[in-house]
Amino acid sequence: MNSTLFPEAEIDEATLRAVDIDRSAGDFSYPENHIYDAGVGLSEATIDYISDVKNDPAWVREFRKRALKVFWDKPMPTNWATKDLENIDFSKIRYYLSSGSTPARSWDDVPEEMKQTFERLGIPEQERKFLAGVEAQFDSEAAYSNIQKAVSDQGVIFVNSTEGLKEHADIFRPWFGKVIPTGDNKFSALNSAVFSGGSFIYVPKGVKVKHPLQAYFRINSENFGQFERTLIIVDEGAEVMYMEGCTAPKFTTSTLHSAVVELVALKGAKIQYVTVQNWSNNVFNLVTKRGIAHEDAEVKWIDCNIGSRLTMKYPGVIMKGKRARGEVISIALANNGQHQDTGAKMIHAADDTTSNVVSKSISVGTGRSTYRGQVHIPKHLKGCKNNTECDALLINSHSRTDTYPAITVRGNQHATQHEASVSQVSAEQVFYMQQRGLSEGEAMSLSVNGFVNDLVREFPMEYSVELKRLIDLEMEGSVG
Amino acid sequence: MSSATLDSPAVPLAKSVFPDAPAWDHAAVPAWFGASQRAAWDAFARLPLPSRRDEAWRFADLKHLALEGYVVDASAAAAPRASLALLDHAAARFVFVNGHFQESASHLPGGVQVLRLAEALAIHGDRLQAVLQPPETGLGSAKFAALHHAQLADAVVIAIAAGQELEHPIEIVHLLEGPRAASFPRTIVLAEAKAKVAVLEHHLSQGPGGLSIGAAQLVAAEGSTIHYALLNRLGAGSKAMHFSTVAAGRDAQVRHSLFNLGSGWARTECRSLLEGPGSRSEMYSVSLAADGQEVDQRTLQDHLSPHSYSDLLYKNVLFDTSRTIFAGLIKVDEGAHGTDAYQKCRNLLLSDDCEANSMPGLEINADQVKCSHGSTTGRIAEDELFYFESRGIPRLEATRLIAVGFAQEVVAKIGHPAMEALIGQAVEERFAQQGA
Repeated sequence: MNSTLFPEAEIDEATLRAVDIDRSAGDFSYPENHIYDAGVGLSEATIDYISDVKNDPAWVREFRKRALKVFWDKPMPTNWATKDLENIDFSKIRYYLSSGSTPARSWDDVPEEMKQTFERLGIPEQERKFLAGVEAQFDSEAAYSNIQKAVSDQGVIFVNSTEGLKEHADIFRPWFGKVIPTGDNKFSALNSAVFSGGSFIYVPKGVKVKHPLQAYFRINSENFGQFERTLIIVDEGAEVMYMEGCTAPKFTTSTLHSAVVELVALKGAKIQYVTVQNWSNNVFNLVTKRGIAHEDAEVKWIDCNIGSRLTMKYPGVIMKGKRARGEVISIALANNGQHQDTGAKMIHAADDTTSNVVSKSISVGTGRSTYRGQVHIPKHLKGCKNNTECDALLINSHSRTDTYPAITVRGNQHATQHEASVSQVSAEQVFYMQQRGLSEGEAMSLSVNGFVNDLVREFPMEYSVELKRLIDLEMEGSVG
Repeated sequence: MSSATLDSPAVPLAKSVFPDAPAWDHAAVPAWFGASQRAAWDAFARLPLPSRRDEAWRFADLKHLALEGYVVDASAAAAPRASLALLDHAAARFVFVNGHFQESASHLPGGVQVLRLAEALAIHGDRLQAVLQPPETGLGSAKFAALHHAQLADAVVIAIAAGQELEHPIEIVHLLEGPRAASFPRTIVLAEAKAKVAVLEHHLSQGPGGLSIGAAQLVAAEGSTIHYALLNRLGAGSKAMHFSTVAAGRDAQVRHSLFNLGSGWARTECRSLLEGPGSRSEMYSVSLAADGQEVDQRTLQDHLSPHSYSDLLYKNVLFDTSRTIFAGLIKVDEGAHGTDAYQKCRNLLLSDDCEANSMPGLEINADQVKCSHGSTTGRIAEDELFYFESRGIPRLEATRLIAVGFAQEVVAKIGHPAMEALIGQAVEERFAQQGA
């Protein structure tokens, strides 16, 4: 076949459209009207400003200041990570902005602009109302916080993290910063110093939250970093699914998103944490996410990275109790100029713990996708199992993909396996479909969809709105 | 054969700062070679010791890098000893003790161009300049590669003429004698177009201790074939580092096999450069680690041309409190379309205190590439042991049989029957010794 499918230098328009998603979905912004603004740059004064505005308890102010020192002391991890990190200018970032409105309680109180956000993302009215609890973060403060009555009646706490640390200190404080200590890495330290927003969830014993809890994050200010902090504690035997999605308007200068998400699944609890990330491609998305699974508990990260300039995110699970289970399902799409550096960390710390990692990435144009993983099984444990699979699809001759797993196993009572493959959409496949009347673009789109389809099915139904829009429909729909 | 003029006298190797440069006698060698040794010495002194932050030394126990107290001993007596030969038929045989050539034990027939360093410099002179440089590792050990080159007193240079095919392998034996002895074995194989050669290098020691920092360079020109195997049977408590560079030209085939059956600590770095279109590189390894042994292996399969093929299979069997590290990378450069590259690391854990680390890696920058890597770590399955036990074979014996079988899969890939038989024997003996 003498096809134009694999030209040496350029991808043709149809293919590009076929495999790309409509990035303009998040490409809009609103006039900014911030009451509180910590200005650009980072110093002790910035921390004091944030603590004053947020009326932080003394221990939080203390915690922030200690974290700031750790942040300054830590070097950039460029000995292993991409040099692109050096392009972050910490002195040009706004570390705190807020519209100053206290979290709204009902749909009517939600700012009109926020409602428009949902409108533009195309979420139908019925869907919005059906969603159990909707937490929408506008810039760094939660502008809207609604917990469905049924959920709060069950004793579930679903508030923003500021409210959590003030009103529920007895539950919040013992776990805050325990799953991801301040000094874990340079960006977790930065987040610990300047965090604002994010969610705090507590699910009491035995409560199975039927509907997923959901939050939308948006960045809406130039040079404004968003540092949300989420802590989810699920008590014995309880279950919850939490979903976050990000869309951000485009700006010409880089912004920084550096979140810390801590999950605690107590005995027999189940947590599913779903992310669809579609930051505009000037955003550095450097996120630390980790969960602790106690006895018989399960922590599952479902992660989809489509946007951002550079994402570095390796969701982890520490399996602390016997028979605990950790899972990471990850989809990454790296287009021109993007680098999706994602992966998983599985730390086995008890007998009979099992973990599973399935990662699929697609590199388009000059996009680069990287899988970086760690599996650690220490001494004197038995019956630990890990399975890791990573598959990469390269669309074009300038696309790039890397895989860097690290697997440590001590003792002979365990089994781990790791497998990775790299492939292309084969010319034969495309030819086959073309023969049956599909255009080249449609054929390519169908192949890409087929490649990720088994993982897409892992995403919860409730999230199909966002995910379908971002990958499935838009890929196909953009083909003439 | 003239006596080598490059011998250096006893020089202690201090930990990081060496008090004196080796006392080279550079009068009889080309100026560029002298200069390269002096430059290597400077590089060795200048380059920092690896630190825990170096990715190339991740998981490695850096305490093994304390190299003080070793001596390059010129006085090692050429006392008569039992034959060190393994192969019944060798196209040529070189025997070195503590880096010193043993003429009586060696066998260098005419017709094959196998040379010692001084001769090679005299005959090939400047043609050797490109290869006779500090071994480029790119995998973390530049400092020690520089030390190796600076300390180089002799080397084996094998030049196979175009179209020549050797029926029997060339055997190179390096014996370490004395707990503080250091040696720096260097093997250079230059196969011209359509030549074919097999090389067996055997490192062993008399008694415990010793340090061996070696390097091999395999340069395969168009359509040639090189099979190289290194058998490490150094004694307990010894330290071994070995750096290999494979360069495969158009349609050339190189097979590089490592058998780590000895030494207290072993670090191997092996770089395969697929330089010509249609070239093939195969890298195999079996490591049997016991006691507190650490085997640390780093590899690179670098595809620089289209339609090249590479395969890697590294197997580790771990006993007691041993540790293994495997870090491999398949790199497919821009333009190396149609690459086929595979990499597999398999760890068999036979004790509750051993530790296996694997870091299989991929970096793909080209199109129409078929690439995969895999890593498995586990123990012998209960049902496999049961199969043996139900046939009256005791558990310990069953374990040994399965472990030997696990290792022999790699031995069968060496590609030369005599070498396979001999190394298979060595592997079996080592397992018997282990009592597994």
